Amino acid sequence: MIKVLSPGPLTTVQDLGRSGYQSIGVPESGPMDRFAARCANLLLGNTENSPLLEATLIGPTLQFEVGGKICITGGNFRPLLEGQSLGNWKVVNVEEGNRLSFKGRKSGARIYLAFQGGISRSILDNVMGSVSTYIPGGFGGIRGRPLKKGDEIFLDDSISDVPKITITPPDSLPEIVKLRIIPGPQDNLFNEDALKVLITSTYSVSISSNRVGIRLEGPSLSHKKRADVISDGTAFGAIQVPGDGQPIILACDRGTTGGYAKIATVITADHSKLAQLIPGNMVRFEYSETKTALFEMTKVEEMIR
Amino acid sequence: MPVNSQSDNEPVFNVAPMGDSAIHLTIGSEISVAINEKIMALLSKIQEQNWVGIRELVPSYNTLVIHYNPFAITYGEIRSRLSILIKGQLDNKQRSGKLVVIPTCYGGRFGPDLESVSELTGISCNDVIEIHCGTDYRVYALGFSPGFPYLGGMDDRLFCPRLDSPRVEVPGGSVAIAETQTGVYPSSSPGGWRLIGNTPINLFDPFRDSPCFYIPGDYVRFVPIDAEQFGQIKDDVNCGRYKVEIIDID
Repeated sequence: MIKVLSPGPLTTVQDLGRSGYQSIGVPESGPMDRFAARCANLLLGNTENSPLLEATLIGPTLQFEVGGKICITGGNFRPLLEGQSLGNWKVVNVEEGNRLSFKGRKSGARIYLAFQGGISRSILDNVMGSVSTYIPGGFGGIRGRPLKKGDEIFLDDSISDVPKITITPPDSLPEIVKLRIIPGPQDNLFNEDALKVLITSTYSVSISSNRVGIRLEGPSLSHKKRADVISDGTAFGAIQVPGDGQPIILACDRGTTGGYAKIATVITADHSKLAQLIPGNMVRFEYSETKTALFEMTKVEEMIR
Repeated sequence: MPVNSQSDNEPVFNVAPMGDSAIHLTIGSEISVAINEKIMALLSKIQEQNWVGIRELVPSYNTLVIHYNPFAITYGEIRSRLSILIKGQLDNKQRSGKLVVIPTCYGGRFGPDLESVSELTGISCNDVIEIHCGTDYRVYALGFSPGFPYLGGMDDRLFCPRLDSPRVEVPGGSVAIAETQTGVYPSSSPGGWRLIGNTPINLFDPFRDSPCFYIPGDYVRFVPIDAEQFGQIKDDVNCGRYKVEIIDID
C-alpha cells in the first residue's frame, strides 16, 4: 500500500481512457500525455493501459508501505526518494518505508507515476471499461475526484519482469513550441486571412487551460459570419474558435460535441507537446499534411517498439 | 469538399479531415429530422458493415465524426466508402424508437427562470408550462456533458436568449430552454440556459447497465408534476423503486 502524504494540486488516477461512449456524451479522459503514460507502464513491463497517476504542476508526496519498482515519465518535477535525486524515464527501486517527493517543476506540466503491476482496479471506480478519473462527471479513479491526503493506493500484485528496453525521453519544450496542424474541418467558416494569422502569429498559453482544453491568447481569428456551428463532434487537438477569436485546443476531458467552428487540428505526433504546455508558454503553428502526420506518428511508435 | 451533391433539392454532403485520425462528415447546413435520420442511417450502415479500424462514431444533428486508426484504414478509404453509402439508397425509414417520459416540476425553486421566460415571451407561466409540455421532443444528439440530450422541435413562442452571464452551477435535473432548443442537465454543471423546471429522475448514471434512457432518434415528453410528487418520485429514485416510463413508438 502507498499512502498519500500530500496530493499536489491535481493528481488523478488514469488508464488509457474510455472508448465508445462519446455518442452519449462521455469524454475519453485518460492521460493528457498519452505517450509518456504508455512509456511509464511499458518500461515497467506493465500493459500500456495499467492505471497510474497523473500529477499536474506539483508532484505528490507518497509513503511506500511496500517495496517495488516505479517509473516516472512526462515532464521533470525533480523526483526525490528519501531526499536523494531520482532519474526520470527509467525504472527505479523503492523500498518499504521510503518516501517519494518532488523538489519542484523543472520542465513540462504533467508527470506520470507508474508502479510495477499497476494500481489495483479493484478499489477504483470502474466505469465503462476504464478507471480514468473524469472530475466534471464525478466518476472514475477514486470516486471521481483527485487524490487527497490520507488516500491509500493499492497495487496489483500480478507483476511481470521488467523488460530490457530504454526509451529516450523527448526533449523538454523549447522557448517557442511548434505545433503542426492540418487545416479543417471548418476552416471555410473563417475569413480568408484567419489561417494565415494562425500560422504567422505567436500565441501564449492562458492560465485557464486545463484537461478540457489549452486556451491560447494572441491575434484574433475572425469568422466569416458567426462562431457558432450546429453542435458537432470534436477531437483531441481540434482548435475551436469562439466568438472572441481566441483559439482553444481541445484535450481529453473536452465535451464530446461542441458548438464552435474548428479551424484546424494539431497532429497526433504533437499531442505530447500540447499536454506539457504550461500557462505563459509560447506556441506557433506550422502546416502539416496527413502523410507527414502519419510518418511522424510512426516515428513516435517506433521509439517504443 | 463536396462528395456528391445528388440532385438540386438534396442537401450537400461534405467530408473534411479533423486531424490525422478523425473524419468529419456534414449533411446540409440545417437542423431537420430528415437530415438527422440520414446521419443515423449512415451510422447504422457503418456499424452493420463493421469497418476495420473504426474507433468511435460520434453523430450529431447533421454531422458524423468518425475516429479511426490511420494504420488500419486510410482517410481516402473511409471517404470513398462514405461516398458509396451516400450515393446508395440510405435507408431512411424511421427506426422503431422510444419515448421517454420525464416528470418535471416547473417554476419556483425548481425552475428559477420561469418568471423571466414569462416576462420575455409575454406568455403566462401556466401557458409556458403547457406549451413546453405540449410537444414530444426529438433527441437529435447527446453531448456537451454525459447524457445531455440536445432536443429539437420546441415551440417558437418560447424563444428566449441565453442568460447574459452563465450560471457557475446549474443543479442536476434542471429542465432548461435556450433560443429554439430545450434540454435537461443530467448532472450539475455550468450553464447558460434558462431553467424552467427540474426532474427528480436520474437521466445519467454511469454505473447503470444502460447509463442513458435514450439515444439519438428517440423522443422525450415532459409531464408536469407538483412539489409533493417531485419529493415522492425522488424518494423512489433514491431507493431504486422508480421505474422510468418508456413507451415504444413506431
